[in-house]
Amino acid sequence: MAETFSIIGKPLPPHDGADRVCGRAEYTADVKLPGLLYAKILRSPYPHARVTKLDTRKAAALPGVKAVLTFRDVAAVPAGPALGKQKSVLGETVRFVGDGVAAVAAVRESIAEDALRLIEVEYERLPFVLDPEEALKPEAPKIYPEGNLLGGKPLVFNRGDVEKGFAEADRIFEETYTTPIGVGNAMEPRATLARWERGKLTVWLSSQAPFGARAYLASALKMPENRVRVISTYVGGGWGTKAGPHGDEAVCALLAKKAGAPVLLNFTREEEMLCAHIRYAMKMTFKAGIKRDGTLTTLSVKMIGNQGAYASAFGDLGTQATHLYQIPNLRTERYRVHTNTPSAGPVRGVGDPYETFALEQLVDMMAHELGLDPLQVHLKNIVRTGTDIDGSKVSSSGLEECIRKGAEKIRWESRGKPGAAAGSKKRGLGMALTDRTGGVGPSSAVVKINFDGSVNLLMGATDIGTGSRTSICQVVAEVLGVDLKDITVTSSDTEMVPFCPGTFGSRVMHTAGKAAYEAALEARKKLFAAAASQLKARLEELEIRDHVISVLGAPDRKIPLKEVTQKAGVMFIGSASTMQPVRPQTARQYGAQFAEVEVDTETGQVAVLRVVAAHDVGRAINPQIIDNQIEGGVIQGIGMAFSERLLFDRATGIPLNADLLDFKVPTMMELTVIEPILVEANNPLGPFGAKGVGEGPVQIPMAAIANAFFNATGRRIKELPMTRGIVLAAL
Amino acid sequence: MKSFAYVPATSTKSAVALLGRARGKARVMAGGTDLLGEMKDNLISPEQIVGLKPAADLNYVKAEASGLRIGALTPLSELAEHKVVRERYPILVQAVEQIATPQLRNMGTVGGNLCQRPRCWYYRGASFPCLKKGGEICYAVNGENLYNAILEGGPCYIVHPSDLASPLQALGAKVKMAGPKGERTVPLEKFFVLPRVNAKKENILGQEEILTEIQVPAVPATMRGTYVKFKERGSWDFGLVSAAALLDIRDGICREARIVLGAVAPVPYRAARAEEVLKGKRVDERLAAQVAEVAVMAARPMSQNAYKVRLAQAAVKRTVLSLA
Repeated sequence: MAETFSIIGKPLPPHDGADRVCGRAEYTADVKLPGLLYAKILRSPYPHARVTKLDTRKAAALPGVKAVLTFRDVAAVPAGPALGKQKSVLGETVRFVGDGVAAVAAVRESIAEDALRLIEVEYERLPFVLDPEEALKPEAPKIYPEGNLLGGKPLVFNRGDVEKGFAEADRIFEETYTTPIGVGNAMEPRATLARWERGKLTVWLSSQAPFGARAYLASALKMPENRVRVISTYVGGGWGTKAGPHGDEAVCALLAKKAGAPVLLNFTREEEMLCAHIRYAMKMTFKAGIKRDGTLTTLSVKMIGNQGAYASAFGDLGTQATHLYQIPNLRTERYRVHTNTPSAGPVRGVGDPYETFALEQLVDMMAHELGLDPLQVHLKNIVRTGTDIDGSKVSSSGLEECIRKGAEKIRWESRGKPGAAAGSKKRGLGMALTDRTGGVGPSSAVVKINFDGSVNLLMGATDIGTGSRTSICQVVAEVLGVDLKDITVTSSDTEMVPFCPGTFGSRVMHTAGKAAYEAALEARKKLFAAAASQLKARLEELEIRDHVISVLGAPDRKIPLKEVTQKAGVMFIGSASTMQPVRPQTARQYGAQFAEVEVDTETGQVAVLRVVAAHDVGRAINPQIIDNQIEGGVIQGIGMAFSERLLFDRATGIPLNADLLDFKVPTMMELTVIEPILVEANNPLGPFGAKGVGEGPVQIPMAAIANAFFNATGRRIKELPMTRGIVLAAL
Repeated sequence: MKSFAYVPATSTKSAVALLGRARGKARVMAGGTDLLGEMKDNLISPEQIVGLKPAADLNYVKAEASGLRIGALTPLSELAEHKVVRERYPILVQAVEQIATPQLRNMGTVGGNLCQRPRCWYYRGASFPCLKKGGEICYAVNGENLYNAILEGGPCYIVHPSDLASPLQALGAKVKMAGPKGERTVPLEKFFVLPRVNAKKENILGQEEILTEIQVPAVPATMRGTYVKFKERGSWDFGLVSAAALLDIRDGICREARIVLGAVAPVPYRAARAEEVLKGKRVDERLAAQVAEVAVMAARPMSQNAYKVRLAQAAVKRTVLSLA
């Protein structure tokens, strides 16, 4: 594209950066309302039990307690959209340690805590199961009468003929990889503040999807959607955990209704880690057929995912097997198995970080066994622009460019033979690829050009720290020929802004960005129509830059934006409701990461020296924000590679490390040199060619590091996280 | 956390008096970085907190000819910044710099670091009535024991979490305590107790006693020390294994050796036999490897922590070689 841009492509600082770092941004827990009450939830200490006695009289009588709710009060209130089980918002049967039983609202948080201790509760303990493979056995305790396998059967997907693919292969490889329960750990734990006024409910909510929460609350509380207002102006990170309603929103609203006063429910860190949702632990068996030249002929995948106690409506396991390579014969079998652990749902990348860990180690291993360069095997098989994946064409792919540029930067050709390095400190290079959606589904936006030439953008999407408040304004500013500072954005208030399903699935730039782009175009069209008559020019001859509308090729025929708006006397408003498709064509994001590690074979310490992260972003609307996305993803990936996993005591089902000391998220000390490369493959579906990039960066580091570890040591690690014990055992 | 009364103590004497008056219902608070965590985790709910912060007679570092005297209330960061400590006891500086985070080192105190409770998640989990809480069993034995003891365990298998304890013990430090019956001073290794002596406590401090001072003898100039700590992340992490070594090597020959391992046993673990192997010998790679093996010869790893034996060997080998 020979086009030159004024605003997009510039690394502009976030609109709201100063507010966030100076503490002026108002998060849910910062909202102060007169008469505010504080809620606490009584949670099960057992992984599987039935409540046989529940007496709240003493709790209710405690001075300062204003409302008590138990599962009996809310039996008909579902906890949120679920694929399998509809859990009621508080339960008589509890299915994991932390499952809610009752709730209290009081004038102080400490009084609410004291009240919980006064609730007399007795449980009948039921047999429990923590491991999904155990849970599949016929003799396993049944968490649901119909069995522990969600849907009663695995999700099976077939493409071509796997047996034919194996027959055509020169070599067949099979490996099993296991990964742990992960946690998103947003900086801000979930928070809900509910207030009723004359039958209308307003909820301040730390949510990635205020419209989803509104739909849930309206349906759960049997109210029309226009009587429920959800506000999620500032959200301190989400990582999927805040994408879907979990039921605590309704508990808070019902407490507020009962108490006749606003109620704030602030999750503790432990609740944030256990009682929203966690990342599926997986056991993945990959069996692949490959020709001597590196052509993949078939792939057969069996995955067992730990679904936990309840099913989330969002997120399937992963898409690497089906979407990264052109594999003619493919079969995937996905088992989602209930256990007595916290519910699993989408966490940044959903199943793909783990699936990438498996697939990309397998491909690396096959290349090595065949004596081929893994880079060449990747290039031979990857999906490309226009590839038809089961009826859905890839709108654009810059993956080859990612691979080539990344390889050049890391100096891939300098890589030694696996395990060849002498001494106790061994260095190695590894690479891995990933695929993910570039963002699909609806969104909408309204753009208003004020009479003074300033602009209001109303968008449904929520900026949870991903920078969309800034980057989407850049899109609008570019279309309207104004500066970023001329635009005020209003978002995440269901009463003020038009619909967007939410901020998840790498979708905001591609969907909400597209809606804002279309809305800005419509507003500009109205503006140009007025300007055309004023300039006596044709509409399609006009352009706008730096607040001035001029005639193409005749720069002297011009009129300032402000003059057009003021002369016109009516407001130019553009609005758009758009839908980014899955079929017949869809946007996918791609990435290739290269890691250099140094393995200390005496201590098992793996130092990540460098990560080169090349990502196809379609077009970089704000390269600074994308660099930050990539860096954040790589750091999170390093945490998943080496230390993050939620552990449970097998004898009791009690979680052991639901805190930030023992669940080891990386610190600044784990930071490494991260070199982002932005590949702009121009996605024709996106605003100015952009596509989503939110999740890809977190999906690759584990695989790239594991492959680098192999290159350094000649050993494979097929289990996450790669703790000292696992690394030392492998060496 | 349950509500409690806060009573400031203005001196050691007033702290002891306040503790006596509370008859076991009070706890002393120095930096509070561990105590408040225990209260928030519902492990303890004291009715009264005796705050030591105002007790100026507990906060000092005094360098004398006979050695160092460190007030128990001295913040960890201040110990590490002290000029004489930096010059003559770099091993203590190395250890402090490995503790938690800068913020926690500003809050946490030297005495608190020695008296902190173990990190075993079965102890820290209020739902587990483990031996340390007066219960019947050690849940780590059949549970997730990857961080637990490989030496001296049983019936409880905690490891001592202190980073300062091992280098102080290697230095031959003594600790002074004050209680209703007056003061007493014991060598640090006598301060700590094994679970087989008392599973509920990690040291001999009485209910109405407080730790007041740490005395570190002067170290001959030829004696050099170093501390290494292996952990799962670079900051804010307790050790998987640590080693403090203090060696007197002259003309390549080791004359005197003290090696104390951390995070491997319920108390700092003196590798006495390894010290014997070192003495009188020329320190080289081969000897260091041999010393490392001997240091953990008695190890009896649990189901998930055999890797700690290798880590302990690596820690010993590295400290010894780095001083050679």
